[in-house]
Amino acid sequence: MKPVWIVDDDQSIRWVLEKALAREAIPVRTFASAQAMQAELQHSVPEVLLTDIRMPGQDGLSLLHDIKQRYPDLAVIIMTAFTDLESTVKAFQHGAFDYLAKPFDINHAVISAIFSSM
Amino acid sequence: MDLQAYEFLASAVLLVDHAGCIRHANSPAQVLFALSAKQLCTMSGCDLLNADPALRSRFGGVISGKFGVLRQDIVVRRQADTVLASLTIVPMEGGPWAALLELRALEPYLLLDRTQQLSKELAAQRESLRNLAHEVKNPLGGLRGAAQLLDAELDTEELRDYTRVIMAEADRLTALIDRLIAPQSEGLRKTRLNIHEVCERVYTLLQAEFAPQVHVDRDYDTSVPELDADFSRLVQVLLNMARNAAQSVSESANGGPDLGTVVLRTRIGRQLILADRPVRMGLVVSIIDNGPGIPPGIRDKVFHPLVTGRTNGTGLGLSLAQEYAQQHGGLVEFDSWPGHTEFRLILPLEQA
Repeated sequence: MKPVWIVDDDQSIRWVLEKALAREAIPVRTFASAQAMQAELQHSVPEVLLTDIRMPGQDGLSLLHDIKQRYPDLAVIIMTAFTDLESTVKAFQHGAFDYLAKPFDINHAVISAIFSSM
Repeated sequence: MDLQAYEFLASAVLLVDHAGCIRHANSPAQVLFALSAKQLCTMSGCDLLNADPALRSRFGGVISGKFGVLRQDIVVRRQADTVLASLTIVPMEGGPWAALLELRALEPYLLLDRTQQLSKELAAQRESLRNLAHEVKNPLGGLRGAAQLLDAELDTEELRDYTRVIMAEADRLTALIDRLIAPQSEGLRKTRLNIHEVCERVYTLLQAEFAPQVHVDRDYDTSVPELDADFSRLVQVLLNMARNAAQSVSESANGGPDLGTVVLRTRIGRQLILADRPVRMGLVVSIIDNGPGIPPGIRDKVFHPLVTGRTNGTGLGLSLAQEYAQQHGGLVEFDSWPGHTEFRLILPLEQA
């Protein structure tokens, strides 16, 4: 199984997700920025990608747009602290597989979203 | 009476006789209407003021000595343009004149500027709250997630109580933040409704929460026409206003002999100033209480989020009420002094 990739500039979110996925025996790699993830994309492709929306540098929606151009079959799950309708609609219009509102429930929301995207 | 004395006043003064005809006009009156004293003295007061039937009948009432002093805001026609003015009609007994009309032009731009300034301020505050909400939710995500992971590692129920508290409190903060930023996005679901359906719902909810400590009176003008509005948001607006009133009177009564009273009143208002324009006819719903009034220190910021006069208040009620009222093209305003606080929801009514 290929690893799940996580892009979030918030260190504690990365840590929590890493631990939660490790508990389910899901391999995981984390990145602090979209740029770092794009660089790694030269060498390998993830099973599923989880990304935050608001980050310094390239934001999550623009990253989602890039990924859908190059890897249309890769499932991307958007995480955001914005709970308004507008960013949800945007995420799905850009082809997001799922949408997680922070703070999320690890067992119910995160793990089930990842399993159903595999 | 020395008519010359009126020349020293800044406000326009007109004297009318018992037939309602203008008999004297001072210089500010001539300037306000852009007519000479001679021209003014050929006209009836009602025609000059372009009075609607309601004002006409009240005008007649003042002249015939039936009513006392009458005050209202009116729109004065001056050749091509119009001027918003506050009108006072004072009955004069025992003289050659029946009444004195005093008019002062209101500076509509000043008034509009003031209310527009308020809505701009509120919009700017909502924007910073949204940013703050975003910044707070990230660490909350880490906090809640870490607690949930720890919860899974613990073997005893007693220890899990600790992690449950952490998660529940994180959820409580999230709910608070969601309430702060909620009212923004979704549109109104307008239906044709009678405002008294809204008032009755609020009345029922108020009774359920505060009876018998608080006495709630209803004073409805049943001739108020129906309007297009979002039922649940109007309930929320009036309920937020009314709960403040009921809490204020029930806290201040504190077992005393005087029962706190809250009045729910509906009226039709004319020539009202709303945020972006004057309107000819509007619906005014007042919530009046006899509590201690709004503390002076927070009077000019009660509509700002997180401002509250109560120790356990959230400071969201009136900010939300104002926002919902503005979504309907209306506004919420108030007067308050000890023993009397009146909050008014004003909504524009289209012309019949």
